[in-house]
Amino acid sequence: MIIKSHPSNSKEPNFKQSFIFTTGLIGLGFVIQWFGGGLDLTYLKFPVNFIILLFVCLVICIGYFKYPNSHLVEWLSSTKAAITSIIGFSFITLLMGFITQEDNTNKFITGFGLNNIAYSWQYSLSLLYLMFSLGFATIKRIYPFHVKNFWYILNHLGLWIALCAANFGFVDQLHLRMKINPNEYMSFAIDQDGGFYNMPFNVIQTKAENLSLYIDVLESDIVTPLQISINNPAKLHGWNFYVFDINNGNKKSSVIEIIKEPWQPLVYIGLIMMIIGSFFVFWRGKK
Amino acid sequence: MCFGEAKNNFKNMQHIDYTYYFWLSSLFFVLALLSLFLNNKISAKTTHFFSVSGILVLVLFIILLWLSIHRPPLKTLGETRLWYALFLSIIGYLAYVKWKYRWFLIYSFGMTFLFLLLNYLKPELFNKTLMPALQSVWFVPHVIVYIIAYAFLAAAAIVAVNGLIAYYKNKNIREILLLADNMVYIGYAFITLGLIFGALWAKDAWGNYWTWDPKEIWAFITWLGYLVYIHYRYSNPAKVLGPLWILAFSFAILLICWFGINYLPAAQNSVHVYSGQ
Repeated sequence: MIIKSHPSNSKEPNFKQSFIFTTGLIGLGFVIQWFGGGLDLTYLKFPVNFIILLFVCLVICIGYFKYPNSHLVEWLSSTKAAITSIIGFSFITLLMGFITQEDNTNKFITGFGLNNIAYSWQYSLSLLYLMFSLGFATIKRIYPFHVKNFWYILNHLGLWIALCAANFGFVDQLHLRMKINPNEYMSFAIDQDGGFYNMPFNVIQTKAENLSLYIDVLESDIVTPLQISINNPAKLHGWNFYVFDINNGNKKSSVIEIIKEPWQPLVYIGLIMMIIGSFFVFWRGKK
Repeated sequence: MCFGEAKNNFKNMQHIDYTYYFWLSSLFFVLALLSLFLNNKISAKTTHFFSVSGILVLVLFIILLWLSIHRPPLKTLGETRLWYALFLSIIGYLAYVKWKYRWFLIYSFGMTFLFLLLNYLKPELFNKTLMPALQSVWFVPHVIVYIIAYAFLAAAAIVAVNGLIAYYKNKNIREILLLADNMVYIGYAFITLGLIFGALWAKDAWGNYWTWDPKEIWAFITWLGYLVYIHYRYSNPAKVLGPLWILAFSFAILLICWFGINYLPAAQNSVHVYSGQ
């Protein structure tokens, strides 16, 4: 499809054409945003996000293994696509850096989704371009495998995994706030949109002192005591407990934040790969 | 209760007496730099000897402090600065061993001395408990890797400006670019670590590893800028002017990220903009 936009070329697009493509893609994003409005990411909840991600993987694999010599695959795995996709994504991020990401009365800014860029079409399209370019460049180094490409794979695959898991998994996050009391078990919390959420467990506050909260979590007749403070959350059965608002004194209530993020392990795998990979970049810096 | 603990701390500090360790390690670092300037066969060895000695004195002091206060020394401003001093001197020394960068040894020992001196002049800093949000194991590594990254990327920017001047004077700048590459690779490795440590820390503190906070946005753009440089150099090794401008541009972004965002209207709610609080 992308090749068709350069029908007169027998070779893969050069740097200038890649740049024009990137500009066109982001421009297209702006147009869709203006006429169609922002993205409703709630549709992307599991399993839809998982299926899309699987589809992206499949496209990359089929593209690479079935059509390795096609101009499209060669171009997407080239540094031309890499550089232009990074520049495109930088441009989108730069907009975020200059325009406050909160409610705005300017029609021009809201119409192009400039105050909510992470939910806009231009962001999504440039991210998709980056994911394909990074994906094709990575798979080229994974198969056939050479030991010398090990570090390359750590850096690139790590970033790919972290980017995909963070952007696709973000819709499945649950951020709940729960008011807890010293003398009664609470079983409901408020979600991001202000709705009620029934927890699969009950929580009671046992103690609040020194900026630490001591709570008991009751789940199917089993009580688990937890201690949480700022920078020291606690974990229980896939739920993370954070201090949100703490009132010292044994009779006052406090607020805790309970977070579930099913895609987090995947993001962390990507980040750890990048941490290890950065040591290679470090040692590469030699005369 | 905080006051009682602080008082107790202070007593322990007195017990170990920072003064001796401060003077001794500073003396070693100064001697290391002096022998660096002498630049003969014997002084090359003494640079190593004095550097390692200075670092060991710091290590010894931190171990003794740790033992005496019965907790990791990571809770007060003074204690955090001790770690800055230790890691800066270690990394500065390693970079000197590997690449013979004298400027970086001077820079890192200079910064080490500055942090040690601040603690010496204001011993009460050892009792000033950090705000709870900063009491994290990620605090020191996050700050350290950024101090180092910015030093190398600033050096790369100086090299780039140097290269641009040489280019317009029609001189050969192939060598200059190789030096710039070197600096960028090291600096880039460190900002990658800084960015990731920051994300991991944010997850512990607020439950989100990424919230598009203005500082995060600008740090990310900076990271992308150097990423463009690395890929451009890789794909067009023969071109010289483009990469130099990319470097200069990336450093301009880095400066916005570092302190420019304090003046950006879009960044007034950032957790990293301290002026408003």
